Formats: sequence, structure tokens, C-alpha cells
Amino acid sequence: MKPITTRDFSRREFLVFSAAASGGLVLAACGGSALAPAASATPVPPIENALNIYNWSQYLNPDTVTQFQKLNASMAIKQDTYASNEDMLAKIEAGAKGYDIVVPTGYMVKIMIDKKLLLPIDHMLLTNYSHIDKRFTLSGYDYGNKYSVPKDWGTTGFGFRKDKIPQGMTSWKDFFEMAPKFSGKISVLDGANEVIGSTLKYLGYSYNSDNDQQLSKVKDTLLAFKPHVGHIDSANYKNLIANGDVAYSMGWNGDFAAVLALTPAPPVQYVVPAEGSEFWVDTWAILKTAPDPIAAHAFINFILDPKIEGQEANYSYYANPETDAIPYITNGITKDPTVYPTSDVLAKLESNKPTPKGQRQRDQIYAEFKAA
Amino acid sequence: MLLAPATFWYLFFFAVPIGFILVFSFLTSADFGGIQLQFSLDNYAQLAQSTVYLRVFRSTIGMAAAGTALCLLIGYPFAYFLATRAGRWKNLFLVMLIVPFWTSFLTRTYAWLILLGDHGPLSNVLQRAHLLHGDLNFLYSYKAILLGVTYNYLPLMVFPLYVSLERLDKRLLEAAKDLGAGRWATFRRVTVPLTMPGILIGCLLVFIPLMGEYVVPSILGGARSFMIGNLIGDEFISAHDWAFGSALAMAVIVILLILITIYFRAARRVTSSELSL
Repeated sequence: MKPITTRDFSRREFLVFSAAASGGLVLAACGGSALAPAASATPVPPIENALNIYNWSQYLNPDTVTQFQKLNASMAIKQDTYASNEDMLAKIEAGAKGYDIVVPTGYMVKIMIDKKLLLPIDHMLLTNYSHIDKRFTLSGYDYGNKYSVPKDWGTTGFGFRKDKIPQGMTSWKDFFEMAPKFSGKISVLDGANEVIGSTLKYLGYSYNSDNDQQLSKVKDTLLAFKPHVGHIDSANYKNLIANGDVAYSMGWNGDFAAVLALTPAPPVQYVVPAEGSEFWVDTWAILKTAPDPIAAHAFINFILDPKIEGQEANYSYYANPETDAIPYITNGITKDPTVYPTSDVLAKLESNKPTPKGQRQRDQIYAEFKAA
Repeated sequence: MLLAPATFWYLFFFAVPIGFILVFSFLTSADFGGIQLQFSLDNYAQLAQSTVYLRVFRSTIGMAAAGTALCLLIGYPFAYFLATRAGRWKNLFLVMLIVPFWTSFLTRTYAWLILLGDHGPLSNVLQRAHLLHGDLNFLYSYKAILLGVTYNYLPLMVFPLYVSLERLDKRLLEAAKDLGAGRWATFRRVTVPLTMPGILIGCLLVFIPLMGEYVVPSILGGARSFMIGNLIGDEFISAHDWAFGSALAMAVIVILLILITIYFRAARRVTSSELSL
């Protein structure tokens, strides 16, 4: 028989070959399951050569990544971004593989734990964990931080342009009732929980209410408010308010602090509304399907070093859960009440904790709000 | 055997996904995402009862129709020019039409954001020429969406029209003139019916994707415009209501099938009446 390369493939051989090739491809795709988590007693497996971080945008100091890269010269570090917890959950639930680290907010951690999407954290690998303030280890969403490590905490409120609204704004009442004067120049966050929660506080109810009558009033308020809303945006509102394209915008405190740190500083002020608002904690979490769990633990441990935590705060303008990091935070950030609110402000805040029924109601109201 | 690749493609990438959506639309969503195997007609009931979602359907069909009409109004003269009068510039124009397609859809849409921004180049030029006082206020509105979709889908309309017009036997136009038809009558009674296949295909290629358009309304439309594509995306991603999202998707498919059937019948009637076939 002549060697295979110098005669034409017969039709049968072609079919056999392609069947074998596609079978091989299928097998290759099915392989590569995640490393099982190392038990504390057995020796730690060697650190992997890759790390894939799925994070909010502009929420991780590039210097931190560079420094971590220097300590792990052959590691391929990749980053991807999302703009809301729901976007991230949808992608993970749809089966996206390859991400190691995600950054869910507290309520989303609980959801992901219930859905068995997170890897239990091996605290033996987190030598810097002791720097985390005690109160951040006793959370309602993940008591004892078994599946998540606190990253940053902050508030949800709104910011306004002092040049357009010289008399100032202090409450959700101002936010909703001044809308007709600034129609089209208003932005809200793209999230059912933030929008409905804020309206609930405006009407004097709890951020997490699932009472039908209260939510019905919320719907009416929002439908009356919608014609004046110009933007529904969670990622770009910083630029909109810095440019003056909006008069006021719902948003998160650190983003406004970052806007105020620009030179020249735009005339923007952040407000935690008088009726109350949301207090949130963002966390580092490792996915159960993470291909590089050891690298993920090493990265989180690296960030928990107070010096690195301080560096993070200097970049993102968000408060972190380590008092030990305060000496490393510059620019007067720790004195800025936008980033580190006083305790009387904190007392007015609630954490986002919707019930499944409440979540469904919120999603429905929010869809109608967007479609209005 | 020859049909095998096409059959495989059709089954795997078309029939199976639509099958999933059809099945999901009759089930119930699990909390915070996923599907429970519980039969329910609630999704369709919710859709039928709501005025809000029906309004979204109406405005999407309106946007798709307006976008298609604009593409046709701009595309037909351009294709006519290309086929009859462009001469040696024909290839240059064709290349100019295609080159934007080499950039990603998203980048092309974002380019409009920069150009038409309140502090963007167009606004600056107009303000300096004292033609504009205050903000441009063009973006984040319905007209911005129409601009975006017309710009992005125009080539899809022009190419089938161009092919149809190119193949048109110009001697028929001469014959019409000889028989006493004016230019408009020739156009209406000879050119249009004969290029109807091109018009049909061009309109379909534009209208169908426009019904599901997601990117342009979300970037250029601001809070004012929420199309069915955005709604379905939100139901799946933000609201985690896969069952309801699937019901909405099935509704879009059914509406499209109905509209396309009506359209085909009407187009065939125009063609056959004008050509007395």
C-alpha cells in the first residue's frame, strides 16, 4: 500500500478521518475539569500559570496587577468586566468557563452560594485574612466568610451638579420631585434593586419590602418619573456627570469621589439621601469551576496585604474593610465623608436583601419602568 | 449526502435553539435564574394582559418599519445610480459602501456617540457658525436610533437592489419610452415591478434583524427607547425570567412570520398586476 500522504483520500477514508477528528475535538472540549479544592491537611498543589478575573470596570488598580505579575512572572493574567451583578450571574449560569475570580455584592454572594456556584475559600491559604476588620466577618450574606472575602464597601445615593442646582439637594424627595425641571438630564442606575429600593425609601418604606401595596405605589411613582429620565446607566454615568451632560445621577459613592478627584474638579456633590439608602459590601469570590484556584487564593491574599489594600483605595476611591490599610491611603480619602461616611449616616442605611417574591416583583416593575 | 452539512447546520443552530425557547416558554422560571420543569401558560397570559409589553412590540415594529423605509428611500436611488450611471466609479462606490463593514458594529455605533455628542465635533462646528445655540440634543432619542440603524443596515439594502437593477434589461426601459411612457411612468410600471425581488430581499434583510435590534437602541437611545430586543435581553440577563423571555421571543417569531407572509403576498400582487402575469 502506498503511504497515505501520496495518494488521494478515498471518500470512505475522508469520512472516517473527519469522524475521528470531530470525536477528538469533542473529547478535548469535555476534558479539563476544575481542580478539586485542596484539603487543609494535604500539601498545597503548585500555583497555576494563569489567572482570569471577572470584575466591575475600573475596580482593580492596574499597579496591583503589575506587582502581582512580577511575583509570578510566568502567569498569564486576564481580566474581563461587567456592569451589574445580574450580568455576571447570567453569564456564569449560562455556563461561561474559565473565570477564576468574580466580584459579587453581598446579596449576590448569598444567591450564588445557594446555587452552588462558589468554591469554599481555603482560609489556610489566606495568611493576610487577619487584617480584615471583625465586623466584616459577621455578615448576614456569608457568616464567617466561607465563600467570599470582603473587598470594598460603600453606599448608593446620588450626585448632582452644583452649577445647575445651586440650592443643593439632600433627599430622594429632591431627586424625584425636581425631575420635571431637569427632564432628560437625569440618570439612574441600571438595576432593579437600586431603582426600586430608592423609590421605596422615598415613599418611607424599607429598601427590601415585598409588600404588594407598597410596591404598587412604587410602580406608579416610577412610571410618572420615567419620562424625565434621560439615561439608565451603571457604567458611564461618571462621565456624564463630569461632562455636565446630566444635572443629577443616581450612583455609588466611590465613583463620585473619583469624579471629584479629577483636575479640574467638576462641581459635583455626592448625597446620601436623608430618607436612607443602600449600604453594600463587594467581595472577592472564587467560582467552583475555576481552573486556577490556587492562583486565585494567592491573588486574593496578595490584595489583603494592608499596603495593597491602601493602594486599591487610592485608585478606586472606595473604602475597604481593613483598618490596618488606613496608613497607606493618601489624598485625604479617609477624611472624605463621601468615601468614609460618619456613623450617623451609616445608621440610615440598609443592605439589599430581597426575598425571591420581592425580587420577582422588582424585576417586573423595573421592566415596565424601562419600557415606559 | 450533499444536504448533510446544511441539514446539520439547520438542526443544530436553528431548530434546536428554537425548540428550547418554545419549550421554555411553557415552563416556569426558577428563582434568580434557570428553569423549573413545571408546565404553565402564565407567560403567555402575562404577555397578553399587559399593555406595557404590547406597547414595546408596537414601537419596535414601528422602528423596524421606519428604518426599513429609510434604508429603501436612501438605498434605491443610490443603487440605481450605481447600476446605471456610475460607470468607472462603480467599484469605488462599492468599496466605500463595504469598508465600514470591516469595523465592528459596536465601534461604528459608538462613533456616532462621539460625533453627535453635545460637546462633540458637529456641535462645536455648528455653534461656531452660529447655526446652533445651546446643546445639540440629538443623541439619546428615537431619531438617533433611526440614524444608527439606517447607517448600519444600508449596505444590506443596497446590495440586493444593486444586483436586481444591474440585471434589469435596459432595453425594456427604452421600449417603454418608445411606447410613450414618461420617466416616472417607466419607473413605476417597468423598473419597480422588475426589481421587486431585489426590493423584497433588501427589505427582509433589513426588517428582520431590526425587529430584534438591541445594540443601537441601548447605545444611542438613552432611557427613551426600549425595544423588544432590549426587553428580551433584560428578561434573561437582569430579571432571570427565562420562561417569560422565551415567551416574548416566540411572540417575535410569530409576528415576523405573519408580517413576512403578508408582505410577500402584497409584493407578488404588485409584480403580477404591473406585468399582467
